[in-house]
Amino acid sequence: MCQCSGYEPPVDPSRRDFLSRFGTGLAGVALASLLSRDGLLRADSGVAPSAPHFSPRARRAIHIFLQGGLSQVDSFDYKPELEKLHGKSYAGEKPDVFFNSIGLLHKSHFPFKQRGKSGLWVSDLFPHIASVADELTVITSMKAEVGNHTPATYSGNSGFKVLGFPALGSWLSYGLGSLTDDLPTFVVLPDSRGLPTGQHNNWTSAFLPARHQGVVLRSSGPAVNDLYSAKPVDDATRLARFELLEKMNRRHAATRDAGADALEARVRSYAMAARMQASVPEAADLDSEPEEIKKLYGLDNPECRDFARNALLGRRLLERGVRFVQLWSGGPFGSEVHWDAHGSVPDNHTREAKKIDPPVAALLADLRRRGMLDDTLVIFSTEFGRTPFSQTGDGKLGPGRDHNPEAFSAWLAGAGLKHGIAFGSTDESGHRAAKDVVSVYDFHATILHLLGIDHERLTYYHNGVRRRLTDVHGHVVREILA
Amino acid sequence: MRRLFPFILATAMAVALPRPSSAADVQVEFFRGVNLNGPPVVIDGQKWQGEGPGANQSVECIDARFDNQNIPLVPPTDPKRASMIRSSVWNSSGKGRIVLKDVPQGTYSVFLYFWEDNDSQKFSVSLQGKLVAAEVYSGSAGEWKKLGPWPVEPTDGHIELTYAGGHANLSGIEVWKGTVPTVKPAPPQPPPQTTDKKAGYDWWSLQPVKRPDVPHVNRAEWVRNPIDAFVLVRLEKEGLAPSPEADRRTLIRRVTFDLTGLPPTPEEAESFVTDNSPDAYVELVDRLLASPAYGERWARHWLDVVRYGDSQGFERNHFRPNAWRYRDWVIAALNADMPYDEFVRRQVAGDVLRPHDPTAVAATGYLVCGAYDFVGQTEGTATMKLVSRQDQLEDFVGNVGQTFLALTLNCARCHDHKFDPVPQREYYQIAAALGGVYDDGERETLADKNAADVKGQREALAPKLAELRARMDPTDSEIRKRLGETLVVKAREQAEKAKRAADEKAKALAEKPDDKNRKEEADQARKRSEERQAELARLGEDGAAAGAVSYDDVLAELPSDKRTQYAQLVGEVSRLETLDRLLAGGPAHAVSPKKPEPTRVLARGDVKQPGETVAPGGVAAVAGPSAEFGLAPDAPDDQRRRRLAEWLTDRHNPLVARVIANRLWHHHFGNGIVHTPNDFGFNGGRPSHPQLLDWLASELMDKNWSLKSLHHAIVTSATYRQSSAPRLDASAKDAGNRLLWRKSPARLEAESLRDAILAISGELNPRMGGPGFHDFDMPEQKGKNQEYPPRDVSGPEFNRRTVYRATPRSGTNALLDTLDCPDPSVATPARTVTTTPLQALSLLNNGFMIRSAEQFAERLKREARSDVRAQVERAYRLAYARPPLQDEADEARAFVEKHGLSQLCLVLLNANEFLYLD
Repeated sequence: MCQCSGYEPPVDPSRRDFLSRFGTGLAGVALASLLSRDGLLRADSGVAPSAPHFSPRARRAIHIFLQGGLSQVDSFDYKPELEKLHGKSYAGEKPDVFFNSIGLLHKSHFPFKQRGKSGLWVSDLFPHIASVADELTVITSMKAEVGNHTPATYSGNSGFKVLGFPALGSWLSYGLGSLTDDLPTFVVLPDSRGLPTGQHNNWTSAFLPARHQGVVLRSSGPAVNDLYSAKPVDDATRLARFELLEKMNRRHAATRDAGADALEARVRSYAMAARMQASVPEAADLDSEPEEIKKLYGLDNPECRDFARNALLGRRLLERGVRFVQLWSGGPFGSEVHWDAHGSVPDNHTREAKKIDPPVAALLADLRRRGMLDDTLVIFSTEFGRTPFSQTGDGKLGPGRDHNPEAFSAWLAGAGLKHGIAFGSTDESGHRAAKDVVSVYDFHATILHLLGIDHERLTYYHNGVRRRLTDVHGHVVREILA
Repeated sequence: MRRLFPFILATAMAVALPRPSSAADVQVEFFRGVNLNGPPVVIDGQKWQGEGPGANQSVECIDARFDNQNIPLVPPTDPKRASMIRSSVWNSSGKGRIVLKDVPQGTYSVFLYFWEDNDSQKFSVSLQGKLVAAEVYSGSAGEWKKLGPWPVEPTDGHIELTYAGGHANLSGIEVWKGTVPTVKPAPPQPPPQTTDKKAGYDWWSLQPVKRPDVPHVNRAEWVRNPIDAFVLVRLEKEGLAPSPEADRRTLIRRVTFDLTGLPPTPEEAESFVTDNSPDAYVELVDRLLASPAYGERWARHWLDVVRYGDSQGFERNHFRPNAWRYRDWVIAALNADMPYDEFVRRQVAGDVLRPHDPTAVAATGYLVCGAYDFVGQTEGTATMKLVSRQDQLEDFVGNVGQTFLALTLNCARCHDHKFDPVPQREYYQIAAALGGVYDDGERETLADKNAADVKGQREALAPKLAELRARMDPTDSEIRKRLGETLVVKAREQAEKAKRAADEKAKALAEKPDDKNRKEEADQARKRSEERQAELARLGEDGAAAGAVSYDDVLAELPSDKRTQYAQLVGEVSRLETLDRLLAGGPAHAVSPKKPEPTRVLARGDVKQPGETVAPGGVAAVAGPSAEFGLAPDAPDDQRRRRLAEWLTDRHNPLVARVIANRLWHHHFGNGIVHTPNDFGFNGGRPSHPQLLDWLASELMDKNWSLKSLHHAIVTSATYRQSSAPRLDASAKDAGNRLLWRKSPARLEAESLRDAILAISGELNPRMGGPGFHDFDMPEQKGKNQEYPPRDVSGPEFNRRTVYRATPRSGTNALLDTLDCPDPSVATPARTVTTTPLQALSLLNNGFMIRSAEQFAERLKREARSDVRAQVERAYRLAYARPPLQDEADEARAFVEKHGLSQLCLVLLNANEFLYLD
C-alpha cells in the first residue's frame, strides 16, 4: 500500500476497510482494486473477489425466514414420545418461558408422515414441502440464543442479539461481491403484510460499507427506491444528462489524479444506474413467465399469491445474478400476521403455512428443474421454536405454544448437502436440542462454508474488533455436507 | 499424644485467603470449629461442633438465626462447608456476641466465616473487645468469605467475638492453637508488557502525554505553526516535499465545508479571492468558527460516535420525542466552545455535577441515546431481563470506553481483553460506575425554576431575543395574523377529533373493563384529548395564535425577495431561542438514575455464573489518575458517575485529550493520525505522527481544552492548506498520503451534500434547534410497535439542516442511505465512502433532488433574469465557487436551451466537482 518506511502501516491488514474509508485519496492504488470491490468491473475485468476461500458448493442463496417462531414439534421434528406424553405435565426442570404459563404437554397438532424415498418425517402442516422432502436437509437440533423475538431475529440474521451488526446477506455481498452489474447484490422481499420486527435493521450492512445493504424490492410501485425520476423525464433529456455529466466528470478528473479511482467509479456508476433502470423492471416482470410456472408457484391461488410472487421473483433475481435473496414470511407484531402461535398453533400455523407451502415447494422444484439447485443454496429458518407444552395455566391443555429458544428446526436444500436427512435431535418431548446441537453460529458457519467462505476468515475491522458473522463461535456442521 | 497438623487451606478458600508460601513449616493445631446455627460437621477433615438451641454448651451465642440452603454460593464450595455457611446467626439488634468457653490458656488463631443472603451490609468484628476487622462488606447474595486469622489469647477461658453494624450472617468460627501467620498479600504482579500478540501497560496510548519539542526542519520557511514542523520532519525524512498552497477558491470551498458543512456563497468566495491581505485566510477561519453552523457541522460528527438516535430500536422502537434536547445541547456546547473536559463531564454526570442546570441534565442524554430493548428489559422471563440489562451495560461501557478513551472495554465482558491490558474485572468496575444508569424514558431537566444562575442566564438572553423579534415583526405580523386564524381552526378540528377518539376508546373499555390494552389505549386517548383541548384554549388567548405560527410557516408564505433576509433573522433568533429553551427546562430523554444493583463479575459474561462483587473503578493500565475510585461496592449512583467523570477528565489521563485531538484531525484530513479513532488499543492503528498527536493533545489541554483553538491551529497550518493535486513522486512512495504530502480530496458526507443543495437552491432554512423534522410517517401503532415508513417531504420545515432530521432507528432515507449515512444503531467514528449505482439513481431521481434542481433553477432566474449565460455563470459560482470556463459555459448553454435550466441544475448537483472537495 505504501512503500515508505519508518512508520507502521495500519495494523489492520484489512485492505477493503482501508480502501472503503479512504477510497478517495488513493492515487497509487490501481483502479481495478476499488472497482472490483464495487462489483463494477467484475464482468469485464475478471478481477478475483477476496473470497471464496475455497471452492464453493453454492454460488448464491435464497433465505426464507419465518418470523414469529415455527413450532418444530408440529412441522419437522417428529416426536413419537410426545404422543404418549400428551396431556401429562412437563417433567423436567421448570422451563424459563416468556409468558411463564406452563401447561400440559401437547402432541403435534398435525400428523407426521414419512415422505418420499428418503422417508423424512414431515407433518401435514406443509403438504407441498413434504412432497419435495427428498431435497431437504433438516436440522432438528437447532438452538437459539434468546427467546425474545427481536433479539432472536437479529441473531438469526446477523449473529448478534443486538442491533448494529451486518446481516448474512451483507457479509456475502462483502465477501463474494456481485455476480452482475445490473442488479443489487442482496435483495430483500418483505412479507406483503409489512416489515418484520426490527425492520430494516434486519438487512443492514451496519459497519460494512453501504453498498452491502440489503435492497428492498417492492412488489408494487417502483421496485427499488429512486429507480425512476420522481418527475417524469423524456428519454432524450435523460440521455443528454448522462452525456453532459460524463463530459463534466471526465474534464474534472483530467486535472486531478490520473487514475482517480473514486472519480472514475462514479462515472461508471451512472452507466450502471442506467442499465439497472432497465434490468430491475425486467427482472420484476412476472407476467413474462409461462402460465404453467405461475400456476406452479401459486400465483393464481389467492391464499398464497403474495408469497408466490416473491418466491418467483426471488428465482428470477437469482437467475439474473443476485447473490442473496431473502424472503420474509411474517410481518410486524401487534396484529397476528406472523408465526407467533401463542393462542393457537392449529389456527396460526395453518393460516401461515398455506401462504408459503405451495410457493416454497414450487421454488425447490423449479430450481431443480433448471439445474440451479446444483449451485444454489436454499435456507429455511425461523428465530426460535415453540414449547411442546401448551401455553396455558398450570395443569391445562391448550392449543397455543410459547417461545422456545431451546430447540427449533430449520432446513437447507441445494448445493453441497446430503439430501433427505434429518440431523440432530431433541429430547423426548422436543423441548431441548439434545444431540448434535447446532447453534445459530454453527448454522451461519455452515452456510458460509457452502458458499466457499471460511467463517473465521471473513472479517471486518470495526471499533477494535475484527468482526465476524459468527462472533467468536461457530463450527461447520460437516455431517450434513455431501 | 499431640499431633501436629500442617496448616492447609482448603482450595475453596483461596479466594478469601492466599495460600501461605511455606505452609508446611507452620506448626499449629486445630482446636475447635463451631458451625453456628447448625449441626456437627466435618470440614477439611476436622470435626466441627454444632451450635444452636440445645447444642454444645461451650459456646454462648445470643442472636437471631438464619438458614437458607437454597441460595447458590459464590464461589461454590464443597457441600459440607456450604451447608455450614448457609446456616448462620445474625445481629438482629445491630450488635452481637459469641463466646467460646473452656479455652485453655495459650495463643490461638481465629477465623470467621460469614455470608450474604440478600442485600449487602457493612459490619465490624472485635475479639476480646479489640477491633480486628472494620467496614467489612458482606457482598451480594450468595457470596461468602473467611476472615482471619486473628491472634487472640483467652481471658478466663473465654474467647469473645463481638460484631456490630449491618445485619451480617456469621456462619462459623474456626480456631487453631498457635499462631497462624497472617499471609501477606502476594507482591503485586509486574504490569504486563507489550508482546507481539498483546498490548501491555507500556502500550503507547496509555503513556502520559508529554509535550514534545518542535522539531528542526530544513524548509523552515514552509512552516506556519508547529503542526507543520512535525509533518515536514517526516516528509523530509522520506525525501518528500510538501505540496504548494491550494488556490484561494479551493481553500474557501474546502475550509467552509469543513468547518460549517455548507458551501461558501459566491459573494464570500469572491471577496476572499480578491482580498490580498495576508490575514484574509485567518479572518475567514475566525468567521467560520464563530458561525453557529460550525456547531451544527461538528455536532453531527459527535452524534455519529455516540450513536445518537431518536427511537428505541428493537421490537417496540418507540419514538423519543424529546431526545433532541441532547442534540441541541451538543450543538450549543460546541458553538460556545465549552472546554472539552467539561463537555465530557457533563455528558457522563451533568445531572450530578450541576443538578440545577437543565442544560447539564440534558447533556446526560448521551448516556441513554443508544438502543433500548424494552421487551427484553420489561417483559419476558427473569433471566431474559438480566441478560438484556447486561447487554445494555455492555453498550454503555463500550460507548464510554470507545468515545472518550478509544478503548474497547466492551471486549472484556466475558474474559480478560484479548489484546489490551484490561482484565475482565475492570470491565465490571466501569460497569459498576455506570450501574445506576437507566433508560426510563424522559426526565424533567429543570430541578429548580428559581435557580439563580439559570434565571440570570435567561434574563440576559431576553433583551437580545426581544430585539431580534422586533426586527422580524414588520415582515411577519401580517402573515402571522392570517396563519394564526387557520391554526385555531385546525386546533379546533383536532380537539374535536381527539375527543371523539377518546369517547370511542372509553366506550370500548367500558365493554371490557379488565382489558389492559384497552385501558392503556383509553388512557392515552383521554390524555391526548386533554392536551388538544388545552392547546386550543392556549391558542384562544390574546395574540397566542399569531405567536404560535412557526418561522417555517412564515418563510413558506414570504415572497422570495423577502425570504433571504427573514431567514437570516430566523437563524439568529432560533439560536438564542434554542439556548433559552434548554435553560427553561422541559422533558428530555436523559439518564434516569436508579439505585445500582450490585455489580458481580460474571464468568463468561453469563448472568447465571455471578462471581465476586466489585466496586466502581477505572482501568489501571491508563497512566495518570488512580483506577481506584475509593468507593464502596454499594456506593450511590451520583458518587459513581462523579468519580468516573473525574477519572476520565483528569489532566493526567492521557487518552481523553489524545482521542479528541485525533477525532478532530480525522475529520479535517479524512484520516486520523491514528486511523481507528475509536480504538487506540493493540488492534487499532499506530499513530503516523505520534509526536504531533501529543503536541495536539498538550496544546488542547494548555488552551483550556478549547476545541476551537485546536481547529484553528489545524486549519491555519500549511499542512492543511496544501493543494490536493496528485504528484507522481509522492504517490509512488506514499499512495495513501499518510505522510500528508498533500491534502487528500474528500467526498461530501450525506448531510453536507443535502445541506449544500438546500443552500445552493436558496431554500436552506437556517432555523436552529427544537424537535427534528420527520421525513417519515409514524403510522398509528399496530399493537405496541412503531414503524417509520419514509415519505417525500417538502417545505421550509424540511429544509432545515440535516442534523435536525429526526433519526429513528431502522428509519430509512434513500438519498442519505446511499451516501453512507449510517443507521444510528452503529457507533460510527469514521464513515465509509462508497459509490454505487443506487447512489447514482438516488442523486438523479430522488424527489428531493428533482425539487431542489427546480428551486435552484428558479433562483437562477430570479438572480440572473432570463439571460442563459448569466444563469449558467451564477449556477457555477453557487455550486462550485467559480465561474465556468468558456467551453463549459457554451456546452451548458446549449444543454439549457434544449432541456431546460432545471435539468442543468440537476446535472451540476450530480457532478464530481460538486460532490468532491479538493
